[in-house]
Amino acid sequence: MGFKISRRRLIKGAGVLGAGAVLAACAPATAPAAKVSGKVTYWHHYTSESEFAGLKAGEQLFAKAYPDAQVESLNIPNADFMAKFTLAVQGGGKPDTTMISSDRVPDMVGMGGLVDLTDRINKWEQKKNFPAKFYDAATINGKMYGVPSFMFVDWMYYRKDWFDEKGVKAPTTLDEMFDAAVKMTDPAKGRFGFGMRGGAGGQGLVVQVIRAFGSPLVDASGKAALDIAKTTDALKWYSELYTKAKAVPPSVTNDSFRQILEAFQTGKTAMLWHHTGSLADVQSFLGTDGAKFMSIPRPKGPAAVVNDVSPSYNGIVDKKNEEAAWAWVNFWGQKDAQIALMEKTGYVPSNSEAAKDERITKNPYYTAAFSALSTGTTAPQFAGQPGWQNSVVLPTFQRVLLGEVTPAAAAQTLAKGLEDAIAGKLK
Amino acid sequence: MSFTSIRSSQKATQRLFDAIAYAIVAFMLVFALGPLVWTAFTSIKPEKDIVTNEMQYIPLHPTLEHYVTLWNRAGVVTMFRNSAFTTAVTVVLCLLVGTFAAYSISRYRFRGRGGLLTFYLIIRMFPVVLMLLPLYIMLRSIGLLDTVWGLALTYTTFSMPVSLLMLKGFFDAVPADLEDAARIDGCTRFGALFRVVIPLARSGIAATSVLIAVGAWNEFLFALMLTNSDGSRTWPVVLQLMVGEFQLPWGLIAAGGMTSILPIIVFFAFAQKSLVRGLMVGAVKG
Repeated sequence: MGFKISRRRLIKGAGVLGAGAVLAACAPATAPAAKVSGKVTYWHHYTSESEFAGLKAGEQLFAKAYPDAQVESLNIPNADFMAKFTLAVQGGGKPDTTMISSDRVPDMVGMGGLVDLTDRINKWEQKKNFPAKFYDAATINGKMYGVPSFMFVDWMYYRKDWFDEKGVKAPTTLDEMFDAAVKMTDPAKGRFGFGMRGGAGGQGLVVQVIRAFGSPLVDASGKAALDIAKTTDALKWYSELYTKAKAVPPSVTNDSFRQILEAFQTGKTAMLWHHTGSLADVQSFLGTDGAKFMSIPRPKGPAAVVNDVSPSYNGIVDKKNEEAAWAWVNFWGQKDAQIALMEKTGYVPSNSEAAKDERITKNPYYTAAFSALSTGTTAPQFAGQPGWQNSVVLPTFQRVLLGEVTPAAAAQTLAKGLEDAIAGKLK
Repeated sequence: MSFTSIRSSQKATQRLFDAIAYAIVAFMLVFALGPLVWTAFTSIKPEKDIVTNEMQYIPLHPTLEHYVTLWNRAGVVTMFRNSAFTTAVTVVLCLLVGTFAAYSISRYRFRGRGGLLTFYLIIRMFPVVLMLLPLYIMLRSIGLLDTVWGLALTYTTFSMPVSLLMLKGFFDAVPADLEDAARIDGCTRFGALFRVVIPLARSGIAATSVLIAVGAWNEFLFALMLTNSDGSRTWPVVLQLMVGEFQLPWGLIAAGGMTSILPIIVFFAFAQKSLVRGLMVGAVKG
């Protein structure tokens, strides 16, 4: 029996196929894998206007992709987030899903607050778009608890207009950065070369400089392994930006994030170390056209370039509407949602597909972030680390800045403090 | 030295002391009102005039943009209304229960009277954060978690001891003889309370209500922890949520602060006389 097809039927069939192809092309990239419905509650610590706008844009995309599901999001101040989360886990009333900072994963898993997503992630078609290391911070004992939603990538801002004015190139090494800081400092104009975070929160940067000079913090067995000579060199280099070169505002030991950011925004400092999270705020003062400032990777130290990458995750807390919860959690791992968030906040997408989008490739500010993603480092995590950084590293470095101790003596203090912290003896 | 010269010397000394007194008062006023004025100015400056290289003390380009942004922010009106509701319910409950409780403790001598007062004080001795979990579970089990009624009951629990002790002090200051006279004239115990004691202690009751209201209006921890939706959150939570992790909109926060203190200022304006009188009565009673 021969198979006959009329010309009319052929044309009709081609028309249907063509229409189907067009429809498929027009369908959102975030098309649902399974039918989901019902309410999904989501706790997060977005608080700024730009973050709200990014979340809203994502919610709108989600509503298009999953019209039968409704998201009810609740914002909680970051400082109180863990207290409220703990209360909900212990007392009942958990949300379905939550935002997860990488440093909070162990505590959240420890209290039974997160659902194991290993199977779902392994079967997820987007998994391949994330480097394996992006899952590390959300993996405990081989189980994955979070989907990366965006990244904070460490980078550096510099005043392009000032550098151009003085004919100085953007620094690529710490030595070049020191020289540039000296050249940019102009007391007559009230300008300083570098906005150093010597106050609250500055301890992390001191440790990064130590790592850039090649000193490990702990060895493979978890024992303290600070290299005194390299730590001394690192502290010397970093502190001399202030003590010797006077290229840092004299308020340095009181300068926390707000002070260094506002000094850069208002034209008091030429260089600033932070991460991608502050881009929107810097742009609101210095413009988006790249004329006044630009972002670049952190300069390379004598031993390494340290630009830490910290992913933020979303995870499932309550299984009562697990399919819808998973749809929401994996939605934020997808390209369109991540770009929608990035366009409002400047937060860098973690999905490698998003990195190929021209909204990112044509934005020069993100070049630094994406070049850092491939080489990005992660801050070492070990027991006692927060205590060591807060109560030993920062006060000791402040004493170096104030000229009360030498970098060599400070390095000894840091090493002793690290041993005590790891042994749980830190007072 | 003549009488005139002594007199003029005394006047000069008096003027000097007056000048010093006025200077001290002026300094204290600047110290007390300075932050308020600064916040008011900040709330009407554009953001670019707030974070500047050179300080701008007076707003050169006044704008209401921060108030508009605040008003347009989702849920703000609801949260303001929630604050007003919880504050009103807390004040009413505290005064209602507190008045009867304080009166009975003030007038009656019964077994366990001292222990009851101590019990109320003990509640205040625990850090509130320790109470969070049991309170959370209790409210959840009776269906009042994430409701303004649940918040109002919580505030009442923690404001009651203070209001009880304050009201007891004010009732103690009303001579019992006046009440006895009213009862001889035919008043019941309740009649004497409402016709004699409460009118005489109204300044103290007003002072107590203002303190309860301010406490409830500004409370943040319970408002955040015991609510899970914008429908039941209160104003202090809105203010706290304006502080971004990497962004700090000073103008918006200042506008929120000014809006927050407005009801308190209005309330004080109405209750000022009674409040001061009430506090003074408390201050001089033996």
